[in-house]
Amino acid sequence: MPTIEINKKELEHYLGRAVDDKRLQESISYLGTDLEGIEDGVIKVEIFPHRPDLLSVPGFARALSQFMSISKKPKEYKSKSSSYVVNVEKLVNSVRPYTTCAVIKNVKFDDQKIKEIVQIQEKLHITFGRQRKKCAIGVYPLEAIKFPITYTAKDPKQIEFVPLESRKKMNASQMLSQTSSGRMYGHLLEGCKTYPVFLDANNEVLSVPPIINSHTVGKISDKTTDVFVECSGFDYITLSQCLNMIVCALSDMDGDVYEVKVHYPNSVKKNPELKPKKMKIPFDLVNKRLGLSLSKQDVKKALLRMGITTEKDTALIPPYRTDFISYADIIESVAIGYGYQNFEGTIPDVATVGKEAPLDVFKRRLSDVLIGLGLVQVSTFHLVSKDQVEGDGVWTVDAKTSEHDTLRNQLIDPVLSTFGINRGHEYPQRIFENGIVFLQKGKEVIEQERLCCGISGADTDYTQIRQIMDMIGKRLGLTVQYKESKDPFFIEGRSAQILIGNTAIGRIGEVSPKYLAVYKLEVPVAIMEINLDELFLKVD
Amino acid sequence: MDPKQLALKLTSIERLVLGTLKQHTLDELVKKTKHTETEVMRALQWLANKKLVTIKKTVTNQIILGKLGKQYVKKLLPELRLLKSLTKPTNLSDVCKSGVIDKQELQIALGKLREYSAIKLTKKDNETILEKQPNAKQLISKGTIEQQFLSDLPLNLDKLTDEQRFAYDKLKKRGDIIDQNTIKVVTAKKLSLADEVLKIKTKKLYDKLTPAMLKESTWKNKTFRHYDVEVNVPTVSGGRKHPTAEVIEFVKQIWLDMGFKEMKGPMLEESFWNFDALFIPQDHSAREMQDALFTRLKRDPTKNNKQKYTAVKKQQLQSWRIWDDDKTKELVLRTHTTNLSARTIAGLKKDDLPTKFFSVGKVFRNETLDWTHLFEFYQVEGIVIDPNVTFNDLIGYLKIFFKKMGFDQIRIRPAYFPYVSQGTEVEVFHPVKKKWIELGGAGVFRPEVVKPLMGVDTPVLAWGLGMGRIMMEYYGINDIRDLYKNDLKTLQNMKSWVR
Repeated sequence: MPTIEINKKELEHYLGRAVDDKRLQESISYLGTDLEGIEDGVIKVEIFPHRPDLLSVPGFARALSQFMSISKKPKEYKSKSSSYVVNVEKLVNSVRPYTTCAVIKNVKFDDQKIKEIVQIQEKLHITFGRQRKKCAIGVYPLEAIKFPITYTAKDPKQIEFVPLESRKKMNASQMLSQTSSGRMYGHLLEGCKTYPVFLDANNEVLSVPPIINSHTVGKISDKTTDVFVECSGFDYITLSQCLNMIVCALSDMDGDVYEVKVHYPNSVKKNPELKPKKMKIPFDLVNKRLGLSLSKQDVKKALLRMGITTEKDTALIPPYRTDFISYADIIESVAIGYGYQNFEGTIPDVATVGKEAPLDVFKRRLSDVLIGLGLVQVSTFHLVSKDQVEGDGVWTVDAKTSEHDTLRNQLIDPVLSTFGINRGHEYPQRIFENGIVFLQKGKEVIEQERLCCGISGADTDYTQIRQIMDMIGKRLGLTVQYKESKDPFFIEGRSAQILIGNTAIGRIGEVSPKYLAVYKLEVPVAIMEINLDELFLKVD
Repeated sequence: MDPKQLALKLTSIERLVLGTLKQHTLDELVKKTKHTETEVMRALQWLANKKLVTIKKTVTNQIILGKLGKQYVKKLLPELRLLKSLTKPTNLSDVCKSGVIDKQELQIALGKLREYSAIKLTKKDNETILEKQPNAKQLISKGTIEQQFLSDLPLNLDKLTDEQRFAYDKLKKRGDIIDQNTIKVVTAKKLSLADEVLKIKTKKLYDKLTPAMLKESTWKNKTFRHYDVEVNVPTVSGGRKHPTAEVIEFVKQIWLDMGFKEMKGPMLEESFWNFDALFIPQDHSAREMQDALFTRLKRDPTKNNKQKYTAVKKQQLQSWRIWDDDKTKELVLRTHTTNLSARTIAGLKKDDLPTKFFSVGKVFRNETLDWTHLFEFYQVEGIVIDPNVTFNDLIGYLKIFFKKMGFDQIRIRPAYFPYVSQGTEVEVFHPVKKKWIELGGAGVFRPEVVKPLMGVDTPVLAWGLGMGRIMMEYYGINDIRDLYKNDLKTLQNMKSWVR
């Protein structure tokens, strides 16, 4: 989740008043952002991914101002009509088919604001834009470009321009390797025969989205007051939401928003679409689902604290909010606006019958038997190293802890490795582990519950481990039989299959010195491992 | 302590040792009392606990004869042997023939004797002649300092004279002649209280109440030795449950008591149940390999589930506008136990409501193992499915659970999880550390999750809580890895979960 740093002074500038740290802390936490701390006048906040509108200082201030009831009524965002046109050519269909655009005038871009607009862009790129894949944003000084603008796709070798912060002219394929943005985001254009490009009426390259702007006509300075903004990508709704977030932030910086007509081959879209989305407020459901008895007025008041105005029974969702999907979001807004700290907690007096999973009850009984026999339960990881599985195990992709990247398919190795860890301790040692192992049968993976008991001591032998298995059988009222078997884990002639009736449920024996050596064990070990799923069936 | 009381506590061997002792070493006491070293040492330890004796342990480094040294002490060091055998000037190549000295010894012997100026070597016609010098006489009669040193061994390394130190330094450089031995000497000294105790005459003290005494009623006139009941005894430890298993059992009991049924299900899960069914978009960052542990295996989630699968797909396409059937099949180690909740509500019928479920199970993340991070850890999951249940009830359930876990105060604040609305972060107040600890998340399943899976839109309260921090706090562990280290000594000495 992205974290943003906000200069408290700047925030107060947008709020229009000073706020003490304690109240700020409280409000930020209950607004629905995760406050990491306020230190030396800098507020560090983690923004949840469904609220990208809070990623900018103006956006954050807008929400906070309403939540803290500093502002009485949220700002209404409107666009003025204009004759700005962007023509989208059919050629972009296969590379990056959509764009949404706007013009904002009269913003005084000082250093601080330039920094801010860069930060908004960057944060939106990372989160909402999924590293520019889903949505890329471009901002251009209006005075440098001439409308109408064309959004088209061209052979990269024919796109010639000076990329942002570069000194020389190059073509778009050179740009991919010669600029840091190109190297970072070039993969997004991998395999494309043509690259998307914004051109102005003078045929000047504005940018090659989603990679980089032009240095000549795509760089804002402290002299800039008017800007052209564009978002490009594959999903029109996403782009329209993204544009709204930027436009509203720029509008909060005292900018005037002008609409842009985007001409697609078969349709014309007017951007930005700042009209609030209307949603019906389900007053009864709000109370029913929250367990409150709020009046309509209370509900509306709570919504207003969340920046949502109302018209009769309808909520007007501001254009920068992208997270309103259904009535549940209205209810959530009421809950947060009402204040989570005001919920006392209740318990419904509805009777239901509890039930533990039968296999878990069985496992607990078995544990009691084993603990009574003096065994200590150990608990190892399901993920083990590749050499701790029998045959090929199921392995995970790109595990960061690479020595634990394979799913265990038996418990003997984990138990032996536990003895390995305890080499320095007093003997005899008696341990058991129960848990899931993952068995690959063809394309299927079966999760099986197993139990493994191990004894290690100078005089440990087959008899001692047999006594444990025999006792398990006795306590479960089952006749356990043993059939001599060959198993590479065990010393030849000292291992057996464990049988209940005709079903083999496990194996038992004295561990072969070859395996003891793997775990540097110098004391004999006897082990039994059984399939608990199968054993449980026998008990039933 | 009262000497009379002390007298009743003495074992026969303690009394024997105390009676024998003035100031003695352990060895001396062993000889005098004719008991084993262990027995005498133990008795001394007990007596010291009773403040009747003091024990002093000293360590000395003793120089002893090495393998060669043992031979040389009798047949002399090679240099002296060589010198003695030189009755007349001899050809160097003939020296070894006599058998007095071997070739290896010859080199060192020559060097030593030249140091003493006791021999002279002269070359004549390609041959070297060896002959004695005037100094030799004295050496032969008096011997060397080194030879003397050997016959004086063993000696205490810390108490050498200058001459001995000189010889020691020389011989140390020559392999195998001298060796070192560390000797631990225990010396015990009787304290004045002991004499008072010894003066007190007691009846014969019996150590053990035996079955024979009981059978024959002979215990009646006997006095049994008093024990030192306050002293430490050796530790015994039998079997025990793993600490995490103890906590899990306790947690499970809380939910069972509140009428929750236990959910079970796969750890290696189809992405459909772990992500898609929970309204997590297919391009969400939680689904990337750097966060979740995927396998290369696939399993079809549409099996016996075609209708719900289609409903989920429809919802995802409507809200997120992306969908790839193939992505739903990828098997992933469940990143939360909410996969079980999804599977559970998908299997519910209208008549089953109201109902409640819980699970305690392992979840997996692609993490680098360190002192605060595990790649697999436990999650406590719970859902309440009831047309009349409220968000306020959710807080009620969490309050009760944490109260039973020992935390009286909880705090909830807004948070975000893609599958819930009214998402909350749950914190408890640590009464000792006086700070809030984050323990998990909760919320009400979104209609976008419930409706496709259940067919109807019903409130489902849900929570997923961590246990690692509670366990670490309780067992006093600072490194989370220690919970799964399985060090038997630590496991046996850890306190049990008593709440």
